[in-house]
Amino acid sequence: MDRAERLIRSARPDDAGRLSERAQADLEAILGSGVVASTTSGTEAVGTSRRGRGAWWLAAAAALIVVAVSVGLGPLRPAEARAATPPMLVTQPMSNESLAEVLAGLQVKAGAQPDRSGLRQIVTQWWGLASDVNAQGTIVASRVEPRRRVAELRAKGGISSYTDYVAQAYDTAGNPVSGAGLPAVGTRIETVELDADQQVFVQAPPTDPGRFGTYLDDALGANSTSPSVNAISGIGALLSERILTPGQSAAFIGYLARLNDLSLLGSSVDRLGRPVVVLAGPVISGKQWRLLIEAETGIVAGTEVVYSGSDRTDIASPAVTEYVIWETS
Amino acid sequence: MTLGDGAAAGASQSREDEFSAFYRANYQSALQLIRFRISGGDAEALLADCFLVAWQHFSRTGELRRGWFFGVVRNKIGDFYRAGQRREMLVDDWDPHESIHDPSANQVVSLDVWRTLRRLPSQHCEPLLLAFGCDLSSAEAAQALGIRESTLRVRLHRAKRAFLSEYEPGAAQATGESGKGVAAWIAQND
Repeated sequence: MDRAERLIRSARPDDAGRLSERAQADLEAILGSGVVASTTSGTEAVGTSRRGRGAWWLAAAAALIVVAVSVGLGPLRPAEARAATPPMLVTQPMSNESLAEVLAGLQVKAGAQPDRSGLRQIVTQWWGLASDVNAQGTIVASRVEPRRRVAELRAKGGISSYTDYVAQAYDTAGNPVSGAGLPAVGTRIETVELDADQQVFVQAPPTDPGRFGTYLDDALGANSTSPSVNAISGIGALLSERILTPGQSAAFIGYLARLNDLSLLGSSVDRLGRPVVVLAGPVISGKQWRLLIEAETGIVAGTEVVYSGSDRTDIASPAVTEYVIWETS
Repeated sequence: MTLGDGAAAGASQSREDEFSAFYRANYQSALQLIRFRISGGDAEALLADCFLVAWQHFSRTGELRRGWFFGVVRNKIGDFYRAGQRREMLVDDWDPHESIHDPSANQVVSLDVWRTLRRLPSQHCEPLLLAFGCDLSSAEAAQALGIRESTLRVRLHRAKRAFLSEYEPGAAQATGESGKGVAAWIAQND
């Protein structure tokens, strides 16, 4: 926990679990309201008495349940359709090689690549299941249109701006999606300018595998108990901002070889058609972070998060919930 | 009462207990978030509306997830603004402890923290409030904000830096340039 986090956490009112009389009364009123249809009541209660306000919004809710039932919208109807998610990558086992052997080979390849760290542009394609929630509690399913992001780099490091474009969408079966209602591929969505002090990774990445984990954690914080999860999500953030030298790429692969909870899922072909090796962290809370490394170069090709739990109704299981793939890396 | 009635009543009680526990666990955090964003309105009423939505959702789906719930809270706040009920809140007006009437020795520091948060743009203060003020996990805060978890981590990083720069401007100024200020901030971390 760093200083900012510690300050904010310590500033929270120390009243967790305590309920005022009003909060208790509201809870009882909510539980007494039964299963009702959604209200759109907003907060019209300003200036009204508490008791009067409670009666108002519960009366509105009660009225709506009558409407819902009368038009056949039974309260037990499934609430949200499952969101479409991108196709899952299919992996083939690499039964002849151990994880250590695979990583050793990738590390050598990564270190032998030409140095592209002087380039000033990072191009990625990405998608994420936003699962935004509207005020009525309905999960607004993400669309499956991925974005293509072109990030411009400053000479001294960091992103000066990025522009997002509409990328080709695919349905869950992997078929290209196009047609009415979808913006044309290549349509510019937005351009965002970033100040110089918004750079996350100020220091250059290490070329020593033993220092890579600390480097990532210093910049982003070790959010997960899993070193593999921190490594995969961390390299994703790093490669969004920097192009690594061959030595730095090799050091990262070397760092992966030191992780005790990383596993080898197998080989696959990524969303750009490149042969990749797929590595994965442990499944935590139904989610698994995966790292794709180009089989021929040892360069990181992408990261993905796959949900495989059983506690969500808005998406299928398993399902990809986010991915980033690097066209340049 | 038949055996079936008894089972149904038991299930209903269990469901109410689960929801009550969720309500208790999240009430103050959510109220704090609402009070941070609005003034001149009935924060408790807005929160009751959020929990009513959660109760309906739970009754239909059996789901109670914090990331989802705080997404509802954020959008209810948005509705409040869109309804024209917004009144600008002065930084010094706001006290996150106002409902408690139990000032602690730490309160002066706390108010400085909260006032600093209020001075930050929303892209910085929202991730901080959700992750640390409301104690949401990265995944939960990302869901509440409708962004990817990896994006949330980067936004949190930038937000923490902006927070410290605002909270301790002397430290940042002493270095003379933003790059060194960042280095100083990193050096302060545990």
